[in-house]
Amino acid sequence: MSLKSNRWLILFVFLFLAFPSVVMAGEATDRIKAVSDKIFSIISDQTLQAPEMKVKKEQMIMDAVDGAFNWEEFSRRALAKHWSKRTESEKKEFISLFKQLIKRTYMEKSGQYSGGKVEFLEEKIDGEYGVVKSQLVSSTGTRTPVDYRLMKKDGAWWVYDVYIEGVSLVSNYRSQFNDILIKSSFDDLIKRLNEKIQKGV
Amino acid sequence: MKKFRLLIVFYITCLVFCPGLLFAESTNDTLVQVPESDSQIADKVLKQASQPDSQSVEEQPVTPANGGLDEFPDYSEEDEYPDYSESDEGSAIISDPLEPINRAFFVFNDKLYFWFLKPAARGYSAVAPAPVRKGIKNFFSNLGFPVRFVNCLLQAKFSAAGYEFERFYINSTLGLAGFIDMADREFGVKAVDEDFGQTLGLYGLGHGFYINWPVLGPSSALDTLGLAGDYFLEPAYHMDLEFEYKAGLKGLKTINSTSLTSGDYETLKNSALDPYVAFRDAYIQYRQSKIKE
Repeated sequence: MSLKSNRWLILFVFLFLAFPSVVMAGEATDRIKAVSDKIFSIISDQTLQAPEMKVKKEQMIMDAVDGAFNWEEFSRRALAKHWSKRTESEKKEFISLFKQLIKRTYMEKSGQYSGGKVEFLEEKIDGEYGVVKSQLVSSTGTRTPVDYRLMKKDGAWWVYDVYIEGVSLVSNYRSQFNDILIKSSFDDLIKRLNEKIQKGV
Repeated sequence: MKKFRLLIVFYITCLVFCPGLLFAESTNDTLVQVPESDSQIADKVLKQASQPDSQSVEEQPVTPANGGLDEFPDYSEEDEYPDYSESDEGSAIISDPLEPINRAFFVFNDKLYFWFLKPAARGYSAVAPAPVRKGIKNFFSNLGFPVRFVNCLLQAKFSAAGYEFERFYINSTLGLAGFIDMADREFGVKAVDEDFGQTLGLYGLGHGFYINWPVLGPSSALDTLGLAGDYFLEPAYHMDLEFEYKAGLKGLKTINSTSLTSGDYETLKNSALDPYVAFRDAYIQYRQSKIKE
């Protein structure tokens, strides 16, 4: 037997053990998929590659993310017990700053994945809450598990947290905000958020 | 050619035994936690074995390591916004009595990364093309087989242990001593990441407190114990090598993996208001999610 036919034989035998990836689809997954498709099309759009288009490109990505992310929920969860102590205007200011901070991170990450792809693995729905498990596959083949937590509001699914490699973005910020709020003040937190955003990457 | 026939026999053996093992596992009590990917695979295999009554093993809520919790008696997040996922893994709080020392070592490690490791990885990338680096990563990963295999067994994850064994077998032969991840590439059998820290965590040991080791980086009392345990399973420990060579191997492994993951450290650091707290939290969350798998 030739080496090649042997290999096919092995593959054939292994087919019983090898598992075709099942394509999961659902409302929540579609929601994420629409956003990620949009972002990938923006990243790979040749007309947006020019340096002078950078601002426009970033704005387009931000708009795409805005379409599915519930920033108020992000903020509320990140501040946790400190949220209810804030006035409406303080909440508004915080939401705006926190959103900018997360978007910057998200943008940086999405830049790294040009030439890569997103694979959707699983969707779990429990009433008003859902989890969409996906993985980012970079052009070099590195896989990064990314889970989206969603909640249903006004008939649509909204992302309220993102888990990257098992690490919740919201929880990670919550521990930082909590640390600052306990040692210092809310004003100091706002100041530090502003500084961070101004400083850029 | 004999090798190929052997391989076929081996697969058929797997085919016969695996569904049995998997089924036995899925009926186990909740103490046995099948990793996510594993349970997916298990589901599919079970379906093929026409046993559709498979069910995903119930997720056990992670008990956050204590410390700090009593500091916030008015923490009402869960009551206000009921969410099954939040209560499961939302808060990964760890006590940090060594914070001043840990912070000092955080600065030290940060400098070490930017002044030494990153430039070294960059220079190394210039010499070694990406496929070579990937191969070296696979080689080191293959050597980690004893650690993963033994810990799979210690955690009673028998099917995962089976997959690990398969991977080691395929990659050490077809994968040319581990340089090519044939098991994943051709057969879709992915690595199972288990270590002694996770084993102890599954047995119910808490993280204890956070330790940020110089050079080694974020860890906990639990994971330090785990690292020490796993050390005896590493091939390097059993090799009759001078310390310099062992250190050299470790260095190559670190520089090689840094060259492949370049950017992750910077991303988390740049997005954080307090990088030290961000890394501490990310580490504990990451480890908790690993134990839960």
